[in-house]
Amino acid sequence: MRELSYREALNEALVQAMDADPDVILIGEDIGTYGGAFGVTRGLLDRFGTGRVIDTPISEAGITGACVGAAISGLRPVGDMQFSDFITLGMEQLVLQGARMRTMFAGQVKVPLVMRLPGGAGTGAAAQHSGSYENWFVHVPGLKVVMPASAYDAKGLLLAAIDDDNPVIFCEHKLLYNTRGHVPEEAYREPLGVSRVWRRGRDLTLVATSMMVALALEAADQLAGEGIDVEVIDPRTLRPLDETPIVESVIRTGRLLVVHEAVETGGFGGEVVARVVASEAFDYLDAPPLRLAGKDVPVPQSEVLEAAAIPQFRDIVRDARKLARNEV
Amino acid sequence: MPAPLWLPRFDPAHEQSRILRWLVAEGDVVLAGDPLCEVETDKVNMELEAPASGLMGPQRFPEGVTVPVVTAIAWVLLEGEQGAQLPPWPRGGDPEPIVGQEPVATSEPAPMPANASGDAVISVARAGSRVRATPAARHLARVRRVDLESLRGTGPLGRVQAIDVEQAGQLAEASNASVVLETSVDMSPLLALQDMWPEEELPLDRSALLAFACTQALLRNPALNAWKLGGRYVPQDKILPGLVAPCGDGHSVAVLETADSLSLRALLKAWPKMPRGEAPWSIGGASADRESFRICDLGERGPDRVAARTGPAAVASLGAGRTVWRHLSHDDGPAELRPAMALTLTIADGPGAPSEIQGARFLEDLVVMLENPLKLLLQGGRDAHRDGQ
Repeated sequence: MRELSYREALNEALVQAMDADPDVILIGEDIGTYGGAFGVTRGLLDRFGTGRVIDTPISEAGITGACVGAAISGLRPVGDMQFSDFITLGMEQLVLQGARMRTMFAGQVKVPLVMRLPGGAGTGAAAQHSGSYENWFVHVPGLKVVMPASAYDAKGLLLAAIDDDNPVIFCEHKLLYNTRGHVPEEAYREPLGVSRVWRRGRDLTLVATSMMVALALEAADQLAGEGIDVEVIDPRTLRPLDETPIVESVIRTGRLLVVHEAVETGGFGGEVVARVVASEAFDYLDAPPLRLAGKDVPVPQSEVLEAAAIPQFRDIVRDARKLARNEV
Repeated sequence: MPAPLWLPRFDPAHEQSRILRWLVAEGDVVLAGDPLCEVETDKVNMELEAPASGLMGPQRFPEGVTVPVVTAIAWVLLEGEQGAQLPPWPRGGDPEPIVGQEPVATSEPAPMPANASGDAVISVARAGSRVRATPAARHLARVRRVDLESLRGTGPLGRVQAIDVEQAGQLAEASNASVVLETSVDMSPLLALQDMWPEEELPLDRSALLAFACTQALLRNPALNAWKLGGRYVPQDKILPGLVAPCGDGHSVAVLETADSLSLRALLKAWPKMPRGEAPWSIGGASADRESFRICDLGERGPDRVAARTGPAAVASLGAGRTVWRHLSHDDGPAELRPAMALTLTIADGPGAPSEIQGARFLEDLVVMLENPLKLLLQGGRDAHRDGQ
């Protein structure tokens, strides 16, 4: 079985998309000679030239605006935010322009852009280079939000995102770039809006996103040794959310734990919990649904404090155990 | 801010309560959920729980005083609030304590306080009005007809969880071992009555007579007419006999509604319409979906004796065998050969189940009625029974 890293899987998806469709272009800082801040676009400048791999000045509003403009004029741009934190500068272009145009102009324009957001903590990069902002975009009608947790999904979801005629926010995690997994060579698509059930279990439903999926699976392994059978579900697409597998799972387990790295308040976990509580799973809840998420603080630089601010493996084990043992 | 201890409205009709006992003294350390005060309602005495952890602050009323509902009756001082100035009692004004049995001037019900003392309201609600249970437990209790109030929750803070409801059910199942009592009815009076029964009259069906007599006997012996609620048998006011009818290789149970208000004549009239193989069977009244007592009369073609299962929720069943000639003795006289029907009463075991003595009394009543069918015919339903008391 062929294995690639998450980084290589993304790179391969870009190559295959650009090979297949000359309208696919890349726009971002340091994506050319440098190969991208995290090496995802390595080799693409040589292969596709400066006309399709466009290095920009340090202007995230410019990158975002150029992507929106390119998209409505018929291209399929893939923007690179270098650090997800800097999408703050492109919010007006993305939210008020890109996300709204298709409906404001009654479908006369499409905005087929993908904005890649390398995010997440764990690198000691502190408060301005470590954020997880996915839920800001979950809150915006007109956007789709994708969050792959594995190399396989990174490639399949990126190809599907590029195919999509709507703006897609593609949230990558810096700590995942080196993780490896099976990645087929062909240009396969993983459909947007479909959850992945990573592991079946009967005691507890654990919904995790991005980096937290791997930790959740490790935690599930450890808890299995304690006789606690954890089901792990990765929504993969946060908007639109495929909630059915989550609801069905909670109907079986009666217990829900949502884990994500972004801060808890106003986070995606609240959305999942709200949907479950309002669904037919309500009658099957046998404990309060729990969220385990980033602390409500800017990500600290100190390694110790950073680890305290972001859910860790041991935190997931602790909370899942508490839920399964009726301690909540 | 100090947390007020409220006397809540435990139910819509609850207007006032007497403070029976303060369970802690002012200045005592209390933990959220600790019982602080015992109050008397119309039905039961309730404990009011601490709305927060802290020090017991001033108690507003002495023991013995009757207080209208939705009144703050004490403060719990939170950390660092000792010696601080207390805010005015919530809900403005200063309701007069009501002493003795004087009627309460029930002004419009005061709204429960909204924000500052929200915690207090929640914990008071736990003390009285609603069982703390998970949605799953509530759902399961609904489906299995288990009374949540009767369960002891094993979850945090006594929360009833699904497993508690399940175990209550299992407990009841496991304890379904039974007591079996048997007696014989002298059928000659009924057979004689049937012989002289005018053909144009409603047929004097023995099963109908048995159902009617059982209903009357259950009215006298309510302990036998009980439902399983949360692992406990609770006597029921309404009598819903489940009548077993053969259905293929098995049987079905038709629940006879309004049994307790029917006269025997009305029952005989409806009897031919009793569905075989369907349930429930309704003669007027609202539909009920459970039997409170099971009657299994397999008729003259059945076996000599029938010890029937109890219904899923009913505490007892009565089985009737075919009429056979047996030596019976009446009033300690010599035994005579008589046409006799064996009646077998099966009583499930479990908390709240009736005793052997109660079962024997029921059978005794039943035998007297069945051996005097003419008297039964003249009897009405429940009202007649009451008049006869």
